[in-house]
Amino acid sequence: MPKSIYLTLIAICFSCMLLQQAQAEVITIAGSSTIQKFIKLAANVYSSRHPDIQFIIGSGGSTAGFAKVIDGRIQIGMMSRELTDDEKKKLGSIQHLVVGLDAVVPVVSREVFQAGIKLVDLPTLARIYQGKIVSWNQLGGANRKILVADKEVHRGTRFVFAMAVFGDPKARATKRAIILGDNQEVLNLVSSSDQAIGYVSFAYASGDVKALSLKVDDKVISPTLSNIRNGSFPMARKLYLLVPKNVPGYVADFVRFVQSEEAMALVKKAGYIPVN
Amino acid sequence: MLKKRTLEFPVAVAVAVAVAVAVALSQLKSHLNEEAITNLTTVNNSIQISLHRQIREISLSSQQILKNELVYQNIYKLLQKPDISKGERFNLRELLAKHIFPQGYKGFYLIGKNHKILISMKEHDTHKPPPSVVLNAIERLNQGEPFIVTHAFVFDGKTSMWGIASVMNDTGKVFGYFALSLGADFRFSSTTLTSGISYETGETYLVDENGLMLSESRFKEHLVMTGLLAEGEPSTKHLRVADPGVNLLEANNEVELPKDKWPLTFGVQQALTTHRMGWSTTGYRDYRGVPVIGVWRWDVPLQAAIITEIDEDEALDKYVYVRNVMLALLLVVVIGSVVAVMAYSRLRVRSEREANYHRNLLLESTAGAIYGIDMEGRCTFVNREFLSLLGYEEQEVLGQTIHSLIHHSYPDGRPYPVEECNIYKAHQNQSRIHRDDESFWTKDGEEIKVEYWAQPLLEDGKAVGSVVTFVDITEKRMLECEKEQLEKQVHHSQRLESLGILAGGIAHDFNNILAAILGNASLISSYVMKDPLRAKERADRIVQSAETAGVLCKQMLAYSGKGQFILKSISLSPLVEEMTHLLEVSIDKSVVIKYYLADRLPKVMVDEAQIQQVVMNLVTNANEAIEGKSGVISITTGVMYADEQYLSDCHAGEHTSAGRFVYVEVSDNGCGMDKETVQKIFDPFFTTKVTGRGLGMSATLGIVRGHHGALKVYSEKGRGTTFKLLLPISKEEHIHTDTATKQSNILPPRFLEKAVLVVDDEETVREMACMMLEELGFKTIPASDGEEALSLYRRHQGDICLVLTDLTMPHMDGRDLFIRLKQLNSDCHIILSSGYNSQEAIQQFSGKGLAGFIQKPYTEDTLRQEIIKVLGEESDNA
Repeated sequence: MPKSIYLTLIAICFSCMLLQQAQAEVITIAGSSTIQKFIKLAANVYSSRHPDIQFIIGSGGSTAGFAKVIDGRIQIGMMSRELTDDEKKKLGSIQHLVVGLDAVVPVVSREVFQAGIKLVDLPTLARIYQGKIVSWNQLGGANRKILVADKEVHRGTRFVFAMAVFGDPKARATKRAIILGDNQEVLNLVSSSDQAIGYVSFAYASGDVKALSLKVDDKVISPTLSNIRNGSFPMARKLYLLVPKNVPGYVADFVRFVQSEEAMALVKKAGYIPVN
Repeated sequence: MLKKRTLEFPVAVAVAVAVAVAVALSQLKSHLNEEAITNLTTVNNSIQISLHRQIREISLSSQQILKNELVYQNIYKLLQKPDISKGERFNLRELLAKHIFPQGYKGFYLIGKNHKILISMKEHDTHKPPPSVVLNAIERLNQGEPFIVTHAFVFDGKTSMWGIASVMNDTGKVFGYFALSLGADFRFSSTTLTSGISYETGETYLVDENGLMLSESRFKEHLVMTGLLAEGEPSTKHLRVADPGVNLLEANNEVELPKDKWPLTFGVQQALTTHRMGWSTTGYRDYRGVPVIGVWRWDVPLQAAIITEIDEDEALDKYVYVRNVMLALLLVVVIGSVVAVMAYSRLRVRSEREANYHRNLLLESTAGAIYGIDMEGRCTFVNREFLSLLGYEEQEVLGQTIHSLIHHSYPDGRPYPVEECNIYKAHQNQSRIHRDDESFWTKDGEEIKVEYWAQPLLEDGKAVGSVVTFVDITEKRMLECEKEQLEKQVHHSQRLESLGILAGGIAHDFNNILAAILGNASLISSYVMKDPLRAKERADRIVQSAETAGVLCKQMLAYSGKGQFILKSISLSPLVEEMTHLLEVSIDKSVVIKYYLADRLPKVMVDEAQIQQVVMNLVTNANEAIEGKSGVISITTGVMYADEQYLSDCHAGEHTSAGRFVYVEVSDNGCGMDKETVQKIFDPFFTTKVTGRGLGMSATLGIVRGHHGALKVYSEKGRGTTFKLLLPISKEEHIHTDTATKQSNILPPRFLEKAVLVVDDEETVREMACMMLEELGFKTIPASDGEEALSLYRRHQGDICLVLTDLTMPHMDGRDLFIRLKQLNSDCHIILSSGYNSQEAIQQFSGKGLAGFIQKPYTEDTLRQEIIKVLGEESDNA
C-alpha cells in the first residue's frame, strides 16, 4: 500500500515537472525604439537557446517604457535618455542598467548633402527647428525650402536632441515641422525627400540619408564611434534598461545575458556602441 | 545442401520483412508528402489572405488620406491647375508628409491625367513619367478597379511598390491619380518573409508573369553564394525563378546552360501556364536547384503567382529517419536470423556429425562386413570389416561394380555372370536375399565362403540401392565338413566296437553251437552203429545247431552290412524281433529282455542297419547300466503323437516337426544317471565305461537326426534310464493306405471333415486308431480316459459324429462313458473295442443302443467295415 502511494507521489512530481517545462515563460519589454533594435537581436539569440522563453517587445518611446515598468505592466523598460529629476524620484528600487551608448545624429536628404550641406553647428540646428531658417540656400545650399522632421516629445532621441540643441528637452519646434514617431519614419521621410532634415539614432544614420558633422567650438566633429565613445560628439546618450529588483529568475537571467560580453557584440551589430 | 536449405528461411524472412518495410515506407512517404502538401497549401492560402488584407488596408489608409478635407481640397485644386508652383508643391509635401510618414509610407505621387507626375516628395520627380508598371495600374484603374497595389518595380534607382487610387469627384469623374509608396512594412516581402516561412526551409514567394521574383527570397545567402544575386541586391525583380538543372548548393555541380537559358522552375511554369492552384508531391528543383515539394496558385488581384515550397529533405526528414531506422532494423533482423540459422545449422551439423560418427563407429565396429550398392551395382559404402576380409583399400572399391570385383565366380570356379547375381536381385526385385552357399573372392583371388543378407534400400518406397551384410563362413564350413567326417568315422568305429562286443558274444554262441555239433557228431559216431535211432536224433540236433548258426550268421551280415545308407520302408516291431538273438548274446546272462512290441505298426523310412545299431547301442548301454546285477531291459514299440512342446524336451534334428511318430523305447532298471551326466551323454568321447570309446550315444543321436527323428531321455539316479527313439511315420505308408481307402471308401460325404472321438488308455492303440480314421477322412480327437473323453465330447459335440472307445480304462471305463454319453446325447454313435470277445461285450450292452463293436486287435479293414456299417445304417435311416 505505501509503495503505491510513493509511486503516485513520484508520478505527480514528474507530471508537475513536465507541466512546468511545457509552460513557456514570457518576458515583456517596452520603451525606446532605439534600444528595441538591440533588444530584438538579443532576444532572438537568447530564445534560440531557451525555447521555453518567449518575448513580447514593444516600443512606444523611453518615457512610455519608464511609465510601464513603474506600473509593473512590463518587466523590463528600455530608455535611451537620462532620467529626469521627477523620474529619478519615482525610480525607487528599480535598477538602471547601461547596456550601450548611442548618439543622435542630424541627417539630411542626399540631394541636400550633395548640394554642400555637410556641416552644421548647434545654434544653426536650433534656428532650423525653430523655423528661423527656412531654405537651404540660407546655409549655402540649393534654393529649396527646408522640410523639417521632428519627433514626438516623449521620444528619447528627441529628449537628447532638444537638450543639446535647445537646452530644454521639452522645447517646441516650428509648427511646420512634421512630427514623426520612430527612427524609421524619419528615415522614410528624409530619404524620400530631396529637401528634408531630421535626426535619428546613430544606428540609423546611413544608406539613403546623410549624417551631418557638428561644428563645436570651431571643431568639426563627425558622428563616428570614437567621437561618441570619447564624449566629444555632443548629442551622445546612454542606453538604459530599467529592471525591477524583484523580477523572476528567468528575467534576471536574460538581463545578465544582455550585459554579457556576447551581447555587446549584438549592440555593435545593432549599430550602437558597447559600454566597454 | 544443408546450408542451402537452412538459408532459405532467413532469406524468406528477410524478403517478407523487406516487402513489409517497403510497403510501410511507401505508405509513410505518401502520407508525409500529403501532410507536407497540406501544410504548404495552408501556408499558401494564409499568405494569399494576408496579402489581400494588406492590399485592403493600404487601400483603406489611402482612401482615408484622400478623405481628409484639407488634403482632398488641396489635391483637387492642384490637379485642376495647369501650372503648379514650387511653393504649392512644397506646401502639399508638408501637408501630406504629416499624414503618410507616421503611417509608415515612404512617400506619395500625384499623377495628372496626362500620366505625368505632378507632385511627389522630390522636386525633381516633377513632370517625370511614372514607370510602365504604374501606367498599367492606371489602365486598370480606368477600367474600374478601385485600388491597385503594383508589383515591385525599380524607380529612381530604388525598388518600389505603389498603391494607386484614382482621385475623383462625387460624380466619379477622374482628375488624376494618387499613389503611396509602400514602406518596407507594406511590401509583400513583409508578409511572405514572416507568415510564409515554415520550418527550416519552407518559404513563400511571389513571381510575376515573366518569372521574376516579386518578393524577397528567404535564401539570400544562398543566392549571393551561388552568384545569382550580388551582395546587397534584392531578389525582388532581380531574380528569375528558373531551374539551374543541378543543385547549386552542392559544391561539385556545374551548370550546363547560361543563366538566362534556364527553364522556369516546374512550379512557376505550372502557375503561369495553368493559372490554377496546383502541387507536386514528386518534387522538382527550385531556383537554387534544390529538390523541393511545392504548392502554387495564380492570384488575379496581385497578378502574380504565389508559390510555397519546402525542401524535400526537410519534408521527408521524418521519412528518411524512419526509413533509416527501419533499414537498420531490417539489417539487424537479417543479420540476426542469419546468425541464428547459422548457429542452428552448425549445431545440427555437429549433432549430425556426432550421430554419423556413432553410426559409422557401429558400422565400422560390427563383426559383419557391410557394403552398399547403388541401382547400377556400384559400391557406395564399405565398412572396415569388408576391407579387412577382402583385402581391398576403400578407394579401390568405392564407385566400382562390386560384382566383378568380389562376386565374379561361383564356389566351383565357374564364372558368375552379373545378370545372375543374387545380390543385385535385392534392389532389382525389392526383396530380401539370404544365401549361405556362395563365395566372395578377395583381392588376392582367394575364395571366402560367405553367408550374406542383401536388403533393398528404399527411399519413399522406391529402391535406390541395397545394403549387403556378410560373414565369412569358410571356417564354419570347414568345421562342418570335419564334423561330418568325424561323425562318419565315429559311426564306423562305433560299429567296429559293437562288432567287437558282438563278436565276443557270437564266438561264445558259436562255440556252444560248435560244442553241440562236435558233441553230437562224436555221439553219432559212437551211436551210429549201436543205436542208429539215437544217432539220427543227434544228427537232427546237429542240423538244428547248424541252422541256429546260420541264423546267427544271417543276423551278423545284416548288422555289418556295407555301411551304406539305404532307406527302406519297414516296420519297427519286426526289426526288433529280428534282433532278439543278437541282443540276447550281447547282454549279461543275469539280464532279461522283455519285449512289448506293437502289432501292425505303421512303417518308417529308415536305414535298417543304422536303426539296428541304435537299438543295439541302447540295449548294450542298458545292459551296462545294470552293472552285472540281475535286471530287466524292456523294449517297447508303439505309435504316439508328439507336439512341439514334447519335441522341445527331446534331442531332435532341425527338420523334425510335430506329428505322429513310431517309437522304440528301451528302459532299464539300472543305476540311472544324474542330470549333469544326462547332459553330456551325447558328446563324442564322453564315456562312463572303462573300456568304451564314448562314441555310442553321439553316433546314435547322429543317426536319429539323420532320420528326422528325436530321442527322449529320462533317467533317475539309482532307478534306471529310459531312451525313447521317435521316428517319423513314412509318407509311403500314407500313400499306400490312401489308395486303399480310395478303393473302398464309401462313406457318405456328409461325414467327411467330421470328427471321431477316440478313447483309449493305451497310446499306441489310440494313435493307430486315429491314424486309421484320418486315413478314412475323419478328423480325430484323442482322449486317454473316460473323463477326458466326456469333457472333450461336451466341448466338440457338434463336430463329433462317432465315439470309438476302449472298454477297460482307468478313472472312467468304457461302460460308464457309454452311459454318460448316452445321457448327454441319446443319438450318439459309439463303437466299443475290447480284447474281450464280442459276444461277451454285446451281452453287457444289449438293448442299450450300442452302435457297434470291434474286437481288438483290429485292422484298418475291420475298423473301416465297422464304421461303414454303423454310419451307413445311419445314412440309410436318414
